[in-house]
Amino acid sequence: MKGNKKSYSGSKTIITTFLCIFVISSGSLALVSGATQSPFGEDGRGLEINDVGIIEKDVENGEASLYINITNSGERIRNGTIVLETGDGVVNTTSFEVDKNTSKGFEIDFGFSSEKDRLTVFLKEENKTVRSIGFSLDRFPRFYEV
Amino acid sequence: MILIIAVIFAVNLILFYFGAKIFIPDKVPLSWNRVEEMVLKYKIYMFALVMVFLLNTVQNRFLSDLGEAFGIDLTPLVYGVEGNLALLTQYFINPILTGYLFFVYVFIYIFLIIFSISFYIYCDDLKNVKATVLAYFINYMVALPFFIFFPVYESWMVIEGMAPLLFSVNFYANDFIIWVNGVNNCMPSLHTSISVTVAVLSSFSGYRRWSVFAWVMAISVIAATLYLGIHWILDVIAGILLGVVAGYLGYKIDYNLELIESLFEDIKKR
Repeated sequence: MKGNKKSYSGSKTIITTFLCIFVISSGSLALVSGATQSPFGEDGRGLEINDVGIIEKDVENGEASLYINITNSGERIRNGTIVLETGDGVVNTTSFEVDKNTSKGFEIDFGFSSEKDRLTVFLKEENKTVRSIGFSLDRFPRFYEV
Repeated sequence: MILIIAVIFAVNLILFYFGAKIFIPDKVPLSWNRVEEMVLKYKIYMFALVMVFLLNTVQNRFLSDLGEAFGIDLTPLVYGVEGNLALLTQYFINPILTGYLFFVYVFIYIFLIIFSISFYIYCDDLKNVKATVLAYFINYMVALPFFIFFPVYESWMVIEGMAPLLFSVNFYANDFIIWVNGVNNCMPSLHTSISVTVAVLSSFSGYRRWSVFAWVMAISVIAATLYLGIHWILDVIAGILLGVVAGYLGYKIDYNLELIESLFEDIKKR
């Protein structure tokens, strides 16, 4: 009888542990998250950054090109903006339109002061950030194509 | 970078506190004296483990560039075999799920690696300490040549529609993740193999509560590697196989570290 009681108490502890980890981690991280897209939109998933990477980088002149591919998984044409931000502030804003169930690639040139600058890419729809991704320029992945 | 390392350290301290309270059996007393006693007793195994981790760091920092320059890129092969299959894991994208799986991928993974060995050391469980050190060693030794000679790029960089969710949660963490993982160390998935190894060894260990936790977290880590847009299905399958084999061999093979021990004794005498 005593053994059963201990085992029950152990199960309760471990379930509480899992719940605490889930609630604390997901709640706190979702608050600071760039992953703000709701799955309960009018037609499910909409705009998404599908691929992003640096194509060229000229450190001496502080110039670089970024490739970004946007996918629209929704059932209607969507408009949005791609905003590039470095330590110097917003360095480029590009408007776009993507047909339903298609992807579209963009090459965007931008300037930077230092390779240690953080480049953050914001994908916005109706001024709301749908997705955002950022790295230091010296660590930003290069664009890769199979 | 320093900030995120500090955060990981602090979160792991908290997880360690709760881990010690929950998983260490009642018969084993919780005290600092015991920590010191066990650290001294198992210093050779801890040293061996630090060497394994250092080797992995050297590989990630210096040798992964070799892979990019001289390795045979297996990404087209992996993509050719499984196509867009991994995309199914992002069928339902939700910020809360992203937050949880990010936490699992970054924090719980590190916790599993360090806590499991610390747990066995603290419980004075020589068999499982030896098994864990050897199993980690097998994992890294098998994965390392693949990372150097057969790089595979992360799935978000290839699959159309696959979002790089891992890098959309916390910008400060991104540089750290790239620094540690690179973007082409996919095959086999070390996140998967190490987590599965920890879970397999926990099953052998007989600590039931710890075992349930390790298995649930190993499954969460596997889900995280796919959902966050990092690994391919084939990486995960390879990782599971490696994790199971490494865990089994680690437990079944007996060995000793006399050479390192005598080296320690020599240094002590001098």
